[in-house]
Amino acid sequence: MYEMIELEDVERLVDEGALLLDVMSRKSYEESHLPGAVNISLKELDEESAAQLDRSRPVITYCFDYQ
Amino acid sequence: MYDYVASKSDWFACGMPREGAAADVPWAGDLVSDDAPTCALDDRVGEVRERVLASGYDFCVVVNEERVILGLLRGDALSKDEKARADEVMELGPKTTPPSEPVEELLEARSSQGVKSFLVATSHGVFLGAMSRDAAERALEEHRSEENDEGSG
Repeated sequence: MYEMIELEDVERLVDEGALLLDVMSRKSYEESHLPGAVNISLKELDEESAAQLDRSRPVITYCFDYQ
Repeated sequence: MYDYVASKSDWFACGMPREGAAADVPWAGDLVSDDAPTCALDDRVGEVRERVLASGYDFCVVVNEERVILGLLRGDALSKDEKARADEVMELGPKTTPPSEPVEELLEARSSQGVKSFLVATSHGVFLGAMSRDAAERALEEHRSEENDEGSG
């Protein structure tokens, strides 16, 4: 289950070691992303690609906006 | 798992740091000035006109309590009956710019429109402030100059 969070929570969780996951396209990610974020686009996001992530860290996903 | 629902447009709108190929170019959100006049739907044109004259801008952004943009007062609208309400004379749905828009692309796209100021707003329409064309052109010039210096250094 996902927990929806706000900007202040992102800052706190990242300070505590959370991983930022940008699910936008590669092009969008390469243009701009949050500091330290890794990229797996929604199209590519599956069990295999998600297995690359460090499971010991909480993961914060984000895209472009509320859509 | 956490979901940062407001996502990167919210992050950038709040002036937080960024990375990526477009991170070093000036964005609209970097150049926002928060002194542009605003008013409420039921403010009277007369008082809005005074506010605009005192501000140095030639427009007033009509916003709600959450600063969501509802309309714009400028030009003839500011010369209307001073007792008229803002919502009776405002332009609906003024064009806005997201804070993450690189100013180079923005200036190119709207070069022929004679726009002196751009209204910068989040994807939810929250008014962040105005960016003047002059400020955008200056920032772009400085950025290009820095790039040239780096290239020749």
